Amino acid sequence: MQPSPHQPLLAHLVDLVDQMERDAALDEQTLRGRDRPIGKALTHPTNDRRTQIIAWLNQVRDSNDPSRGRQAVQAQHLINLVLVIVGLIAGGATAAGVFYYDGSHPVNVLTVLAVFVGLQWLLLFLFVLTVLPRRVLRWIPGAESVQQALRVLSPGPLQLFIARWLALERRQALAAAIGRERAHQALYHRVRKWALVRWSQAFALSFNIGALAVCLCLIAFKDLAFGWSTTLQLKAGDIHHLTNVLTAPWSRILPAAHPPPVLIEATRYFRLRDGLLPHAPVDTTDPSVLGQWWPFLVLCMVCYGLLPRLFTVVLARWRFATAVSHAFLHAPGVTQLLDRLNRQWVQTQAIEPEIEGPPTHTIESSASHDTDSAQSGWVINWSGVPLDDAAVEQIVGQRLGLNVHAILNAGGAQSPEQDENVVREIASGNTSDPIVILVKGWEPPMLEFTDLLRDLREGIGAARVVTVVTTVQPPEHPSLPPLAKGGRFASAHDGDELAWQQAIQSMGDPWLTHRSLNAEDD
Amino acid sequence: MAEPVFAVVGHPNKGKSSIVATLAHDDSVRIAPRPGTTVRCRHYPMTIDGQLMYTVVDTPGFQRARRALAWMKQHETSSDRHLDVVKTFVETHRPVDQFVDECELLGPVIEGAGILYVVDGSRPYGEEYEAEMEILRWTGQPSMGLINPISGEDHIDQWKAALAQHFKIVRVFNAITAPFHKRLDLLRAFGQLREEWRHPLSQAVDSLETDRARRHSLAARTVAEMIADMLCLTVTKALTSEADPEPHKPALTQRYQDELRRRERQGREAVEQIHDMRKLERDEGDVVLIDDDLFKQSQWYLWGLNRKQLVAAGAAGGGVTGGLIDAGLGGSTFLVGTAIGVAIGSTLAWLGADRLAKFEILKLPLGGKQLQFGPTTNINFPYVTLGRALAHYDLVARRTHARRDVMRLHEETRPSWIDRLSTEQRRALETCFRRIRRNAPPPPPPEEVCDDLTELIEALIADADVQEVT
Repeated sequence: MQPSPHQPLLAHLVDLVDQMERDAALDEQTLRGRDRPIGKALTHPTNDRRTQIIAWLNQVRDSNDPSRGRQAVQAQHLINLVLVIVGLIAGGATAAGVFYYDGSHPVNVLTVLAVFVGLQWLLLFLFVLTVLPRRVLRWIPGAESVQQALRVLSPGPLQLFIARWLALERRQALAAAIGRERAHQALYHRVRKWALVRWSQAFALSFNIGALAVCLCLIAFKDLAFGWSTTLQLKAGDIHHLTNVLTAPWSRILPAAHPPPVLIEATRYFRLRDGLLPHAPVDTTDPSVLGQWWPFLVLCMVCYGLLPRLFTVVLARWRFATAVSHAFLHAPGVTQLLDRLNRQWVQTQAIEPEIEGPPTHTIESSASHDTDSAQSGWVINWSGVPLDDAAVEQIVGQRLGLNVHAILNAGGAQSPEQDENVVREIASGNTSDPIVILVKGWEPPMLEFTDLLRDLREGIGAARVVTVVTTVQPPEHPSLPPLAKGGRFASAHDGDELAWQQAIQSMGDPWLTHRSLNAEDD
Repeated sequence: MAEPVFAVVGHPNKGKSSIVATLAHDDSVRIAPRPGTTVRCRHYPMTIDGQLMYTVVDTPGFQRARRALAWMKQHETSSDRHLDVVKTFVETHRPVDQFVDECELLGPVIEGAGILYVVDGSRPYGEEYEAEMEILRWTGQPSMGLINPISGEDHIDQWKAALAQHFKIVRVFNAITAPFHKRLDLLRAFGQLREEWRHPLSQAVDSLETDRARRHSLAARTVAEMIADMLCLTVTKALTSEADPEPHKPALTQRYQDELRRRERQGREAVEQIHDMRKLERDEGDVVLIDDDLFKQSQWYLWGLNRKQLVAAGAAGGGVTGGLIDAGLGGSTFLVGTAIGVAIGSTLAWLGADRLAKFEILKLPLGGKQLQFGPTTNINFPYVTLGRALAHYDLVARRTHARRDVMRLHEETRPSWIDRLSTEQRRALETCFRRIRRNAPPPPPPEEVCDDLTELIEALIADADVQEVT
C-alpha cells in the first residue's frame, strides 16, 4: 500500500530513515538518475522541503513493502492507550483511596489537597525541570543532573516494559522511531525525549481524569462527608487563607465553590473527641453541610490537576511534532537528497561500456642472431628517423657490426608504393644480407609498420635476419642538437620500448629481432 | 540543428583518451601506456537533466593513414567532393579488416562531428603525421589542434607551427594537470569552431560552473559533518561493578583509533564520490591521536543514572520530603527542613550507590561500570582534522580524471591550510568547535552549528579555487 501523504510525520520519518539506509547501498549515479526526474516533476516550491521529501518518499517506496513508519505509529498509539488505561486506573484507584469514607471519619480535605494539588504541582515542577533546554539548565547548578535523573524515573520509560508485549515488527519499528537503535541516537535524541514526555503526560492527564471521574462518581452516588484534620498547629484561619489562595482562579465566577469560614470552622475534627464535628454549631442538624466541600475540591482537582496536564499534553505534543519535523528535515542524507531533487543533473560520462582491447603479448626472450662483422646489410629508415647517412652508417657499423650496403627510406612521407619498391629492391638483392630497420622509439608501432614487416618477410623469405632498431634520446641528455633533416630526437616514455617489443613478438617471426639504441651511441 | 559532436582523433598513444577522461569527468576511461587501447568509438554526451548539450567521442588512433589517403587520392574527383570520397572510403572498407580503425574514427567525423586532433607536445613533429592531417582536412569539418604535453613541453612551438597549417584553432591542453578553468576555456574554444555551437557550449560551460559550486557545497557539508562526528566520538565498554578496567584500556584505545580512521576514510570516500572519482587509490597517513589519555570511568545506576545524577535524585527526593514538612509548619522553619532533606537524601544516595549496583531485579543489574574513551579534548584536533580534510579536498578537486596514479596524502605533500586562515576565520572556527564540543557526547551538535561550520569550510574551498585560477 502506498504511504498516505496525510499520515503522521513520525511515520514518514521512520520510512525516510529506512529508505536512506536502503539507498546507502546504491551509487550516486543511480540515485541521481532516480531522484532528479522526481524532483523535476514535483510542483512544490523548492523551499518547501518537507512536502518535497514526503512526495519523493511516496514515489520511491515500494508499495508492497510494509511501512515501518505506520507500524511505529501503531506501536506508539498502542503504548499511549495502555498508559492512558493504566493512568485512568491509577488515578481512579488513588481517588477511591483518598475519598474513601466508611462513615467513621470524614474525608480529610487536607489529604485531598496534598495528593491532587500539592503533589500535582510538585510533579509539574519536575516536569518543567525535565523539559528545560540544556542552554538554560547550564545556568542552574545541578539542574542537568536532576533532569537526567527525572527522565529515567518518569513514567515514560514504562514503554520499555509495555513494548516487550508488542509484535516483533511493531517493537522494532517503535525502536527505530524513538532512536533506541544505536545508529539513530544522534538523530533521534530530541524525538526520544519528547516521545517519553508525551507518554508521561498522557499518563498524568489520564490519571487526573480517572481521579476526577471517580471523585464525581463518589460524590454523586455516595453520601460523602468532608472535614479537615491535622496534627500540625493550624487554625481555621490558616485553612481559610489557604482556600482563598486556591480559589483565586474561580472565586468570582463560582463563589459557591469557595468554602466559607463557617464551613471551615465547622468541619475541623479530632480523633480523640467524641462526636464527629466538635465545633459544629449546636443548632446545625443538617448533615449535608459536611458535603459542602465538594465543589471546592472538584474545582481544585480540575484547576490544579487536570487543566495543567491538558496544557502539558498539548505542549508535549507540539514539542514532539517539532522534534519529529526537525529530525525529518535533518536526517542523514536529506541534504544530499534535496540536492538530487532540486539541482540540475549534469552528466558527462560515457553511455557505452568500455570494450576490451586486443590482448597484450607477453615478452619472451628471443634467440639472438649474430651477424658477421664483414657482412653488409640493408638499412631501412622508417618514418624519417633524423639521422643522416653518415650517422646511420656509424651507428649500424659500431653497434651492430654491419657495413651498410644501402639506406632506403620507407614510411613517413613516403607513399605506400615507395614502401613496396623498397621491399622489391631488398628482395632482389643478396639473399643473405641482414636487414636493419631504424624506427623512432618514442613513436608507437603502427599497423603500417607491421604491414611492412609482413611484406618484407614475404619478399625476402624465411631465415633472413631482420632487426628493428628503436632509436631514442638518452634521458641524461635532455636535448641533442638537431641532426640531419632538421629532425629531433626524443626520449622514450615508460612502455614505449615495451610496445615495440610486443609488436615485434606478436609477428611470431623467429628471424625478427629488436634492439634499442640511443642517439648518442656512435 | 543537431547538438555539437566533437571527435577526438589522432595518432595512437597521444593522450586522446586522457583528454576525453578529463573533459568528461570519467575515471572509467581505459588509459594505458600501450597504444591501441581504444578500439571502438565511445561517446560521452554532456546532458543537463537529460537534455543533450554536446558529445565528445573518443576514437581509436590512425593505423594506416598513408594507405587510406592513397586510396582516397586514387578516387579523388575534385576538391569539392573530398568529403564524399571519405564517405565512400568508410562505406567501402567498413566491413573489411584492413582499415577498421580509420573507418571507426572517421565515422563520427563524416556525420558532422568537429575534429579535435591531438598530438603529444613532448615529442617532435614528424612526417608520419602528414597523411592523417591531410585526411582530416579532406573531411572539411571544423577542426582544432590540441597539443597535449604528456611528459614535457620541448616541442610545443614546433607543433604549433605545424598544426597552424591544417587547423583553424590550436590549443595547448595538458590532460593530466589542466585546472578546472582551463577545461572550461577549452570547451568555450570548441564553441568557436562553428557559430551555431557557441550557444550550447556556453550554456554547457555555465552549467558546469554551477555544478562545480554545488559539489563544493556538498563537499563542505560532508567535511563539516565528518569533523563534528570525529570531535564527538566516544567508545564505551560496559563492565560489571567488580571488573578491573585496566586490561580493557588498550583494546578500547584501539577501537577509538579505528573508529576515527574509519570516519575519516568514509568522509574522504564521500568527497571523492562527489567529484565522480570512483576508482581513486589513496596512500594516506594515519589519523594522529593527539591525546594521551581520554579514559573516563563511570558507574551507572538504575538503568542510566551516573553517580552525580543519582545523588541529584536523592537530593531532590530528600528536598521534597523536607519541603513538605516546611510547608506543613507554615514556613516557620525557614526551609531548614528542605535543606536537611537535601543533605540527607544526597548523602544516602552517595553512600548507598555502590551497594545499589550489586542488586539485581529480574536479572537486570541495578548498577555497573562503564569505561569510556573520548571525546578528544585536544584543542588542535579539529584544526588538524580540518587541515587534512581540506588538503584531501584540494587534491581531489584539482585532480583530473585522466590521472591513474595513486593519490599521496602524507604530511610532506600537504599545504598548510591552517597557516593561511585569517583571524576572523580562526575565531569563527573556534566558536564552531567549542559549540560542537559542548554537546559531545551525544546528543549531537545542533544543526545550526554544522551549518555554520559548512559555511566556513565552503569559504575556504572557494578561496582555494580562486587561487587556482589566479
